[in-house]
Amino acid sequence: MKNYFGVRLSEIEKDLPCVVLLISETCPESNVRWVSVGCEEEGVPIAWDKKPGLKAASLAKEAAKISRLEVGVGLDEREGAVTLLSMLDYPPYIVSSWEGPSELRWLGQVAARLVKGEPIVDKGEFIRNHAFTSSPKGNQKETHVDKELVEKIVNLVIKEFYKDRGGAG
Amino acid sequence: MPVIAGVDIGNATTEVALAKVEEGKIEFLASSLYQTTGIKGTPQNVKGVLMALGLALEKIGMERKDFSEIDLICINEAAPVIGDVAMETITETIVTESTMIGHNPSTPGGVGIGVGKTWHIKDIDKVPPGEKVILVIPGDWDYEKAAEVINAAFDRGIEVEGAICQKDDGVLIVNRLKKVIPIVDEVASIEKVPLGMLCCVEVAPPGRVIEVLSNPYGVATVFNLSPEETKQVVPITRALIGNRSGVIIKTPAGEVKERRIPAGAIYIDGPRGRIVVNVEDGAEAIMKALADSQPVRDIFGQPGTNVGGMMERVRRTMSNLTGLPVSDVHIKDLLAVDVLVPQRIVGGIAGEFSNEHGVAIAVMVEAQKLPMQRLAEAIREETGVEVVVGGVEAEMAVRGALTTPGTKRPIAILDLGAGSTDASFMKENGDIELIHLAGAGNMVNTIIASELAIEDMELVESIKRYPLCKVESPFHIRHEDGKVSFLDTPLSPNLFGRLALMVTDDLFIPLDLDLPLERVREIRRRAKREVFVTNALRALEKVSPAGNVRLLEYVVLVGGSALDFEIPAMITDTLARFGVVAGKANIRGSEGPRNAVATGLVLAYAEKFLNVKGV
Repeated sequence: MKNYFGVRLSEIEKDLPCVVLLISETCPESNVRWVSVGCEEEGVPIAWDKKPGLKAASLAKEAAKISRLEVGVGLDEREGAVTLLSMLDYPPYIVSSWEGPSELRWLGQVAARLVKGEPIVDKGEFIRNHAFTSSPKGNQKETHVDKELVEKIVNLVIKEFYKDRGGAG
Repeated sequence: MPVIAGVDIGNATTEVALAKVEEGKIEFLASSLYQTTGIKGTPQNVKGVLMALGLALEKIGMERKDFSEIDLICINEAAPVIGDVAMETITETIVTESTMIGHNPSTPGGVGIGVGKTWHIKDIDKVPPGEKVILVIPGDWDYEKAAEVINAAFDRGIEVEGAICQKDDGVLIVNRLKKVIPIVDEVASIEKVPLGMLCCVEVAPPGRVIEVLSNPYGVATVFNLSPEETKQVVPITRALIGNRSGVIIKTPAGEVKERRIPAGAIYIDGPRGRIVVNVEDGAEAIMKALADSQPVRDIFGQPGTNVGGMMERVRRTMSNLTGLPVSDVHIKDLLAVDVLVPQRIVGGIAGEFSNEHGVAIAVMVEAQKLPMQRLAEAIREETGVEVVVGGVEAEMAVRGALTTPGTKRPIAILDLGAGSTDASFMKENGDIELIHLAGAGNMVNTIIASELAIEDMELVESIKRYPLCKVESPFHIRHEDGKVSFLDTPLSPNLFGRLALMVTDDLFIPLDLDLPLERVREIRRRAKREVFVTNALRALEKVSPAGNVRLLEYVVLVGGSALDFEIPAMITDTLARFGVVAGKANIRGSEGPRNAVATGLVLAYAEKFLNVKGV
């Protein structure tokens, strides 16, 4: 079971029982890690794939159709959804916006608990108990710092500072 | 064609029977009930009486305020009985220093038993190779980082035997290790775990419970304890029974004690003088002392205890109600029931609970008479209708109960209320014996609330009243008898996987309880049995001929608690063993166990004053 969390659907044997996570093309792949972790802590296998052109709700339904455990998770850049195969005619069972790893991990746990038939932990309570220090890698914006520009700004600030105090510029 | 309203003011509900008398015959027009406002027998009851009358009028097409349609209101001489309940916890488990973590995280990591010294994970570099350690991992450690550090420690030859983890990361860490170790996670106060102490961590495989740490000799083997020390670990092992994971840390001065809390004494005055019984001796001892003191003259509780306070409160309420001095108000009966109370362990570090022992005690005070005339006057002023106080409650109840098809004199009535359980027996010649006993619906609530550690008494009332089910999927539930029902529309996610109360076929109240359905059901049913079946037998023994329940033929159950979905069956089943026909009343063949006294009032008045025969 060890290597069976957060793997790509194409990398596992067909018909292996697992929760399926489908992400949109706008959702960074690095977010898969946090949803998978939510499932993994509960001991429920999860595999993922990318499916362009759909939002979280539709992705969850598509995922539930593929999942042998009949539970699917959909993730786009703003929302996550979890649903069951028995609920395809209804809106997804759980739809929630996400901002960071805690919310994503919660979605993973929800999916696992739907498989196990265990109560779903309230999102707020879950987040309080899982205060993460790190942010999702996918959401980290790469900041290129222009060293020359920084030097210029610092010099300007220092100049102004001395002017105000009547010092030599 | 006079219209008469019979009004029965009970501890919990006020009931009305509305009837017209024409050509020597009674025709019942409507029945109603409304919750009693204020304490029975006080002018505060008027509001509830008006509401109940209004509801009955509405049922016959009148306005709620059309009191002029009524010619006469008969109220009962209400039984001057007040009951109350209190809980006294008589044991507690105390942890001095941190020696035990015995909680049940939903997903502990790994499996097996690990023994070693506790080390903070940040100090792992200082551990010499070959040392056996249990690592303490605070919540600010990421699971990947923790796994990396532990794997590096394995490589250096350190024997990491297990771990205690603050966050819910046990499985995540174990899945990344080179070797499976047991990890207990979700330990909230991890900073309280003492470092450098010998520690044992045990995680059982899924579906199993720990076997070593819940066995005193297992603990003695792990920590090499002397026979004396082994005795001391019994409370720890007891608290760990049934858990999937547990930790015990041996500290030089640490200990876990089960202590009996002095819960005060109860003084029972009877014909043989005063018998003193300690509450901590439990329900059986208290009830034996009560049986040895019959007939009871008065009962007192030690001041400063919950039970003592409750007894004085009841006495004072009755004194205020009747104007009698407190010293003249006597507690005539008591019912004690042993309960298990989940209590947070004092000094525990993972929010551990231990099932402590407690005693629930209900008492009952009885006065000569309640000031019903004052209340009758207040009702007359509000309605403009003549009001008479007619008939003793028990007599009226029997009259009403006899309208149940299939009954005849001699007959015994069990009135299962909220505050007290009352029994009356009408002989062939119409003579009536009557008894009031402490303990009824409110005591059942107290026991359920204590055993399930629920403070919301409305929820407790619902647990008593509605059957349980388990929501197994958005579209199906499993009832407490194992049957399955399917639903057309999906149930809310907050019900998924939970126990729920089934209010109607499609209305559920979720229960936030981490207990199996069978356990909750057993607590509910035991509370009902301990109160109502016990009291049914106690009460019937007192009113039956020669004190022999077997000599009774017919027993009819009335009152609010007779509406319960399982109490009547429990009593019927018990009394069937005595050869007694017992069952829920069906007043006038239509009202079920409600409205007996209100119906009896109308019948008695019509017979006495309106020449109606044979009612």
